[in-house]
Amino acid sequence: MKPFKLDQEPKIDSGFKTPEHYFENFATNLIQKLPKEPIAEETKVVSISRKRKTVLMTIAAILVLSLMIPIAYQVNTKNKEVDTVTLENYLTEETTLNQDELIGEIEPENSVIISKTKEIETETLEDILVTNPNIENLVIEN
Amino acid sequence: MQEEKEFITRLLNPKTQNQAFQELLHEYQKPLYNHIRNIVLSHDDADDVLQNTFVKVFQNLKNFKGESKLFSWIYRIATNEALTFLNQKARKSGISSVELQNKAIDNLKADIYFDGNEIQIKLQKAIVALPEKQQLVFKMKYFEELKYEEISEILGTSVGALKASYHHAVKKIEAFVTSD
Repeated sequence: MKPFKLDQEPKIDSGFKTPEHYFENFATNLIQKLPKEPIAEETKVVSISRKRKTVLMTIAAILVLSLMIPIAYQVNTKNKEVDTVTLENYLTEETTLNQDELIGEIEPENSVIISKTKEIETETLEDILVTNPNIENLVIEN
Repeated sequence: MQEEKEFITRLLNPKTQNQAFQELLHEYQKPLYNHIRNIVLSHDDADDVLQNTFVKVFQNLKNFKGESKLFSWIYRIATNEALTFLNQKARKSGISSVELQNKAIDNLKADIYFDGNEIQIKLQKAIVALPEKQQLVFKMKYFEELKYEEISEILGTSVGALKASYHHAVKKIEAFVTSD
């Protein structure tokens, strides 16, 4: 038997046929069957309710922050200034200086102020002595 | 390549996509039909698979990154669709894919859309006896007359491996036809 050689034989056709006008009708039928959804690249859709929620949360956050500003400012201020009462207590309890020594330590310009204050205090004291019925007690105390 | 990019842009643009898709259909429907028919053998099955292929192409155009040519991307979809179709049909019938194809060849004589003689049926029987990859390579090279480079892009196999596959396929077919 003569061996079959593919390249020595005439080209063998597949023998497959199609119905008449198959390709003309195929395109028309296919277009009708294609899904209606757009094939363009999908755009990310953010729902209105979600967008509104984000806006509301942003406004709330801004309000909370603005309310926090004065409180934070006060806290900072308190921390920086030394309370007068605390200072007095410290001087009383933690130092061995008496009142005269303390005045002696004060610079001259400040001692003038203290002297003026003292004069005012003397005048005030006179008024108090005149008007105060418990004058004897006050004299004993001084 | 630039033309292909422009064509893809037209396919993705809602204003131009209908016209562009009609052009795509016009260009690919005949070669794709032949490609699919060579795999599934029956006209009705080829018609179903061809429709599914174009629907898939339409739905997935947005995902086409242009890393391969449009031609090879579409052929790859068609090949996968045809092979999946065959496997599903065989599973539903409870037989193997080879048995299903042999059955389809036996039915070819009665098929009004097959105009072949004994040697054509013998050739089909010889092809079915080949491994799946060799079948594909032989059909694409011999019947569809695609270049090795094109087949390489579609099947993702090197040109050298394709040449070897085709050579083995031809030898087996010649032996089958001679002994039959």
